[in-house]
Amino acid sequence: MMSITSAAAAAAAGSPVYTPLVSRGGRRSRCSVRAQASEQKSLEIMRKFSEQYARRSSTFFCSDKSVTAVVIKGLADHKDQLGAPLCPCRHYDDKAAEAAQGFWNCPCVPMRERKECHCMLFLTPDNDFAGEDQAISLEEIKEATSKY
Amino acid sequence: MSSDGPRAACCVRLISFHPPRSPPRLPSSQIPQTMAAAASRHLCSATALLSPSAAAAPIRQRVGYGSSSNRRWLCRRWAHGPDAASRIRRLTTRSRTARVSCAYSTGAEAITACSWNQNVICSDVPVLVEFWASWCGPCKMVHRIVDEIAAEYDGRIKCYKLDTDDYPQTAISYNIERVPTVLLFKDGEKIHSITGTLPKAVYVRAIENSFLEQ
Repeated sequence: MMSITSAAAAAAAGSPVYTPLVSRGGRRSRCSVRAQASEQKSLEIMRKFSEQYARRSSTFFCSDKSVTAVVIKGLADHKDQLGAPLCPCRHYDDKAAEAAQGFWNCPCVPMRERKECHCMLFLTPDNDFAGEDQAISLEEIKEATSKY
Repeated sequence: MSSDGPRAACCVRLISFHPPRSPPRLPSSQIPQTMAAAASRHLCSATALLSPSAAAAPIRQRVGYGSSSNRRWLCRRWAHGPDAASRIRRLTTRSRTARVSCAYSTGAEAITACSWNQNVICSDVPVLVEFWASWCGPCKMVHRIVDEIAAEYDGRIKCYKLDTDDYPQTAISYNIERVPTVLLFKDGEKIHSITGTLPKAVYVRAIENSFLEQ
């Protein structure tokens, strides 16, 4: 609503319509640069965690690496928003409460106890979808997640 | 991601109405009406969207006026402006968004809580609904399967996708905990529920069983 009224006011005053747009664009890009930096950081943290945990639990990433990439991106997003890498493959009534409670924070309790990851991030070798990799690069994640 | 949703949708809209994509080469006598119609259409789409980037529409309109050669000249001048880099970058992200939405339109349709009763409960054919969430890896695999099923069973069943983050009430009322969950409805009743990523054959078998029960 704001944008339309301000644009209409600018047009009525006879000033160039693009003036408010430019300033808003600048502010937005500065904010997004800062947000991107923190996003990048969580993405890198979650990528390293996934590699490390896969090696430690002797599990493997999915043979379709885009699944792995999307899940890591989801974990990073939750880490940014909620402060904890809540599992992105569940529906929660209250995400913040779940993150505080911790049962579904990655690695979740079923994963730690029984190596069950329904997100298909950590797959045991006998799983049909398991690949052979325990490593994923940041480029792979960025390429796979840019499609969505 | 979810906060970006409306803006992304707006970008798609602006791109799809943008005249340079499909310049109608008409006799000069017809140009004024066409342009006026195009301009009014722009205005509609821009004002109805209530998004920060709606303010971008007037400039884009001005670029769109006149013959194609005139437009090209304006575009080139605009490309050398002080903030050209940011605008060019924004244009490329928009076109990418537009391409993504095109890919979506071929498979299963997105459904909302408002259209739930009409499309799922009151449907006279079986309905397959996939509950998904953004950044859920297995959902992307199930998306592909559901899209394929939608194409194969076109006319015999209906396939929909519902984002559980957008419509949590619907997800809660059907006890969706894990995503992806695929529910099969017949005559408004849930007859089958498939949770997790399974081979396509499992989904197909459930659909075939629903036909046999008729």
